[in-house]
Amino acid sequence: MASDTIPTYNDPLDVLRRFMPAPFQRTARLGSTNLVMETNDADFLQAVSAWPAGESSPDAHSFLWKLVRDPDAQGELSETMIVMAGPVILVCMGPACVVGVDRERKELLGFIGASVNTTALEERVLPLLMRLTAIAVRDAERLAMTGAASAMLNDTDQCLSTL
Amino acid sequence: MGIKKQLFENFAFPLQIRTIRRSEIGRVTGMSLTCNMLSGLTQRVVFHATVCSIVTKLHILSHGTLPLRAEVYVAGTRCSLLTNSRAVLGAVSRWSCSPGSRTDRSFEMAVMVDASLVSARTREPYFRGLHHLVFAVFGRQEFFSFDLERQRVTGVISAKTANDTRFWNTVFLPATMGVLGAALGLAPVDAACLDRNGRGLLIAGVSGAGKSTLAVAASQNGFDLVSDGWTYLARNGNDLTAYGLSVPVRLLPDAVRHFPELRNCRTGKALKGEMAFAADARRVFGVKMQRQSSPLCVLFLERVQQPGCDFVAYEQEEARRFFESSVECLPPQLADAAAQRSGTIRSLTDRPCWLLRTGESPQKTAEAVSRFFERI
Repeated sequence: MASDTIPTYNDPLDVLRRFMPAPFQRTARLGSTNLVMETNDADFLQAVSAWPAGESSPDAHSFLWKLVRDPDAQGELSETMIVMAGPVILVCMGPACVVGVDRERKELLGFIGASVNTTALEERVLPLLMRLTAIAVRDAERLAMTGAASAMLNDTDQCLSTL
Repeated sequence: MGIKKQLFENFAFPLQIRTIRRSEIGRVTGMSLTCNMLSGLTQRVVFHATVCSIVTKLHILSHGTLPLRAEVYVAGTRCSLLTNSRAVLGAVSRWSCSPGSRTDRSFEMAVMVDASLVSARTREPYFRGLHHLVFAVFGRQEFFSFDLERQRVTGVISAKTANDTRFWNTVFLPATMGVLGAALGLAPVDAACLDRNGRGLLIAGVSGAGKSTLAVAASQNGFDLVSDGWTYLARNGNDLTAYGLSVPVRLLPDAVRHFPELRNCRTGKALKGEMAFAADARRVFGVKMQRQSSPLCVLFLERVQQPGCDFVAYEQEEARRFFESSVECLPPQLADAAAQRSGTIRSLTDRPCWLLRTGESPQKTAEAVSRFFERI
């Protein structure tokens, strides 16, 4: 990420950093899932560079990963807390890593702090995100087959065993 | 104990497994790091292991795990609260629904209290958002998420925080309404709100203009105080209602010049990190508080050097731009909420707007505002 400009996030007001640019994009295949990764940090793309390339066609059935490197997030990774609440799975490792996986919308959205180095990213963060994505995709496919939304929301036991 | 003896004992029982926490490098022996390095060099054995992933907490939030529930009414919005803790219910009890509390706006809040979590809210809370999700981390481990699409708040907190009434009423619920407000059909605006006989007056202005000081002074001069900072606007048909959260008023340290009552109060760090008094307006200043009002007009406060108070008509379009620029930008996923919020702001600025230029003390300005409001 460019470090020669210091954004103020005041014009327009964006204290939540929703509009932090994520100009880098790559598609990859994660099992049978077509993954579209958007980020502001080329290191994240590098971390998934070994994965096979995915389809870039807009029609491709895709799962969005939007991971933003946040230079203002303080602290190191702390213990992992996973919260499963309806269609959203949340991951918190302190301010250095907060991620939400929306199983219905097939989106993984999160912020990674500057202190999280490549090793921690590859060995600790990405494997967990991949597993959660697999859970989300499986749920979405089951939902498409049965049309039973309630089954997806209540079936947490299977997720537990996977984790 | 000598190094030789220690080495011997550790080689004799090489797999004393220590608890590995908060660390990515764990040692699977009972030796110190120095002994490990020494044995690595002399014996060419390494006892270090990299711990790749430590999942210490997994919480499933459902009706089964959160058996307690309550209905609370915050800023004209009904909140269905689910929790596993009676302390949480107690902390928000002041917001309990009265029989007449009716609204179409509602959201769900699921809060799990984990007794093993440690409350360490020493630094500023960390708020971030992407698309429809907003995350909030308090300290190291306490965590909330706000789902703006589904109007749902989810969180895991410590027992200490669950019991912290001040946290709920002055930090978390105001933050929740700020984050979730637009998705619920509210327009949170940076303005104080005063009420006189059900008629509301909003005081807006740039940061540091003296909105809170004037609001307190006016509350000592015939007005009731609805809010000194963030005010939450809602359209109910053709009516516009302004809600406050009865949180302590925030006054900068130099406000003690105008309010001797503050001499016995202490300053503290506000949510944004600045030092300020946080005073219970009812207790410290003896003012009357209201939870809501119907805005009649808006005053834009401007400090000037010249003495006197001047009221000048303010362009409605200018007023609209001011409020639009003071609210958080919303992503395309929340376009409907953004449009609704803009409609509410327009409804406010369709009311008479005035620029108040004052070089007087808050008390004298409040007297002028009181006289001016009577004439409207």
